Amino acid sequence: MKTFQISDCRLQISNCLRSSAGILRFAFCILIFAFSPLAFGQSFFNSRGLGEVTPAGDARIAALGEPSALSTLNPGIFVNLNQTSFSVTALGAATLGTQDGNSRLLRDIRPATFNVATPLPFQTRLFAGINQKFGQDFDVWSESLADTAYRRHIIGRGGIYALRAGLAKSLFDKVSIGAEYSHVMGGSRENWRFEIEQGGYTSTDTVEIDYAGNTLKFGASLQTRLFSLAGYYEPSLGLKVQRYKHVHGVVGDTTRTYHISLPQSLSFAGSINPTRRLGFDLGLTLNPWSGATITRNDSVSKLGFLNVWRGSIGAEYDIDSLHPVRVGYSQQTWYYNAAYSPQFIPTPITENGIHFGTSVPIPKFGSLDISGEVLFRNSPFLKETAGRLMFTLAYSEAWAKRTRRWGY
Amino acid sequence: MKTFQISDFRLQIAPSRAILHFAFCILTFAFLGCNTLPVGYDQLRDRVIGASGDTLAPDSAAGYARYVPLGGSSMLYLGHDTSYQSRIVVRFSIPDTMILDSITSFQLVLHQSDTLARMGFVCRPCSLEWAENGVSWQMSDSSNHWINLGGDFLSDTVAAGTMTGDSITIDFKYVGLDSTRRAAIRSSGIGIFPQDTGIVAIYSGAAAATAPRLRITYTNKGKETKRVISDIADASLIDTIATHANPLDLLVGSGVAFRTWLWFNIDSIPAEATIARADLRFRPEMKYHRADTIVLGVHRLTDSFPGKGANARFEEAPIGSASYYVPADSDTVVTIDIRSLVQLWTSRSDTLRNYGLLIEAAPEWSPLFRLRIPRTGPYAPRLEVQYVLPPEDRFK
Repeated sequence: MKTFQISDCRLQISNCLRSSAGILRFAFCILIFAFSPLAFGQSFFNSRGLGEVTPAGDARIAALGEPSALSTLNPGIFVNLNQTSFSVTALGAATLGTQDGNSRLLRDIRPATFNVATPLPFQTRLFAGINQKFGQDFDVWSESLADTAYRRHIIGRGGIYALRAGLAKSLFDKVSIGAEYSHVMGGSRENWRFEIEQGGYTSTDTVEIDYAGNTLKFGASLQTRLFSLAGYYEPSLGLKVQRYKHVHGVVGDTTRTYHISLPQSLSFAGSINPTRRLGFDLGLTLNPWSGATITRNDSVSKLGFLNVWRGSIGAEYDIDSLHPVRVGYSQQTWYYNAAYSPQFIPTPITENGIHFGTSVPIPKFGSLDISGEVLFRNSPFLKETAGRLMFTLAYSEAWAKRTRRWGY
Repeated sequence: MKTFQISDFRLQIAPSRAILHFAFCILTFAFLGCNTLPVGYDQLRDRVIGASGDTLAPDSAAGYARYVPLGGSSMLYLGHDTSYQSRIVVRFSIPDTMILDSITSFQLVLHQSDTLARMGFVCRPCSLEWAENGVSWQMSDSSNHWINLGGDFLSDTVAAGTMTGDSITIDFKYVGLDSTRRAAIRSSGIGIFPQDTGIVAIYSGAAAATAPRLRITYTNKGKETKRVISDIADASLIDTIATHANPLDLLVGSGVAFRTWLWFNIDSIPAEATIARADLRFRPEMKYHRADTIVLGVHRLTDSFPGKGANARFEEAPIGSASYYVPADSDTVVTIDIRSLVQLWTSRSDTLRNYGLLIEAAPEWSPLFRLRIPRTGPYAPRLEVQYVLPPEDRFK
């Protein structure tokens, strides 16, 4: 009997060790995955246009397929807000690009968003936040040819960010309308390095771009126990763009100024909760950006962007009162085309995504929302499989379980 | 009991499986993250301006010869043949307080580099002071000429011998000389003159173990004592006898320095270009060599050569160099990478003017050689340049 007890005990230890080892393995892989400094970047397509439209930056919304009208990007989402709240999101992303049988992995880990909202008298809410609108991180190498003495290594870093502040008004505890002012700013820095045969870099040409602009956004939502409807409208976005080109750091620094005008954006979403433990949502974002223009020396020309939409569907199920699980699916076409040489044929970039996530309540604080996304981006010549891991730490003044409602 | 064994076994294999899993993760991420495959480069192609290349012939070229100071080198050359003659000057720090009566022997020790060579020589006191960093066949230091080309020496022979094997020790007649001659040796050293045809290399004072030295044996309180005095300065004095060269020949050589100046017009390369490759290429014709490995260096001129000629200054440090092997690779084209120089000329043309470049032996005291660079024809110098222009804007 004693032997049995010992063996049982050892089996338990063994199982425990195996599970610990599994956790360790997982954690180790995540660490390698996230912090390895071998390469950074987010998408091989980010070298074009204004870059990738960055997700809302809320792990809870991301896990449902990112219906952005149900996120804090919608200024009219704040129906229920009884106490000051804030959330901060960290994003880890990895992108595996495949082209002509070659594969390369890019990684990125960074803070994604910060949002804060506080209730004011007369059912009004004051909110603010910062989030990235477009990401321009990439890292690519040119091919090495026998008849050239160099290779290019181009590293792009940066993006366009929105500093947001707005006011919302809640009506009848079920409706909210809001307006938001955003100061859009940011920049990118592209280092075009030339690596020579013998190793090392001969020189670096740097293209720096600064963006600045202002925009407004209007939103509204209707939230009941059974269903919710939400939407926002962003009339347009005008960006003043200043480009600096540094050649070898010493020669011919040249500056150019452009004005980019991006047409309106619309986003709608709806959700339905057939039971207290189950909910479904749908999201649709329209970016009719074919009319996007660039003005340079009073000469206006089209940027060649596309009219695109993004659709999503998601579901949330509460396993018990503290443990929700979320799944989602999304589909979109990017607002600019991919290119392929030597003919430079523009080809669309389509993206399909699978989303999932959960929340972990943190007593006396709030919750930690976790989401994972696997995105499949396709152009005829370059394909990407991207994985995104998002953590949102949401704080409320007093701890309470986050019920299935939108905003806070 | 069986359960116990199984659990024990599982306990044992768990860590090794974990290690394997770790290794797999690391290898996978390292492979995918480390590689530099051109994934996604096509997305930038419409911003890339294609590479351009050019092969330039020199717009101007000239050659000149000059006696250069050869002091401080690792080898000293002694001898003469149909092309060159070379003698050596050496100076020792001999104390003037030395009690000559106690000296029983006073010897000169020299070490030879080529142990198979044989060379007779004589030593004579030098009558004019010289400086190691400025002495040459023509000059005693950087500003004064010798009275006679090749150095000024007294006629007395103070030592004579034949260099064979790796070293020679010969008697040096210092003690028997009058005070004037002893003073001349102390202040100006001695000259070593070849007596046979051929050229041998002797180790200089650069290496202490093989430096020319004086070995003095004297009696101190009844005991025989030895003292060694190494040289404090030495140099080869080299002259050409017959180069059999045309005045317009472009020569490069050591000993007596032959230098070739080339000027390429690179105005066609845009200032904002990144020079990916700039190779100076030519196939020389070997005229004389005493070593099979020849090193050529390229220097940037800082003065106008048409204006100052052979006195045009140039940067001391070579901008590029290349080894040339003879005779095994005599067909080999010399290729010298001057990418950084061309990049400077194009991108900093306002401060670093293109006065051309100078090809010379690296260093000029290296074993004697002389080669000719063809002015025309397929083997004449060519500058092969490949450059790329900065990228286009992100928005067009």
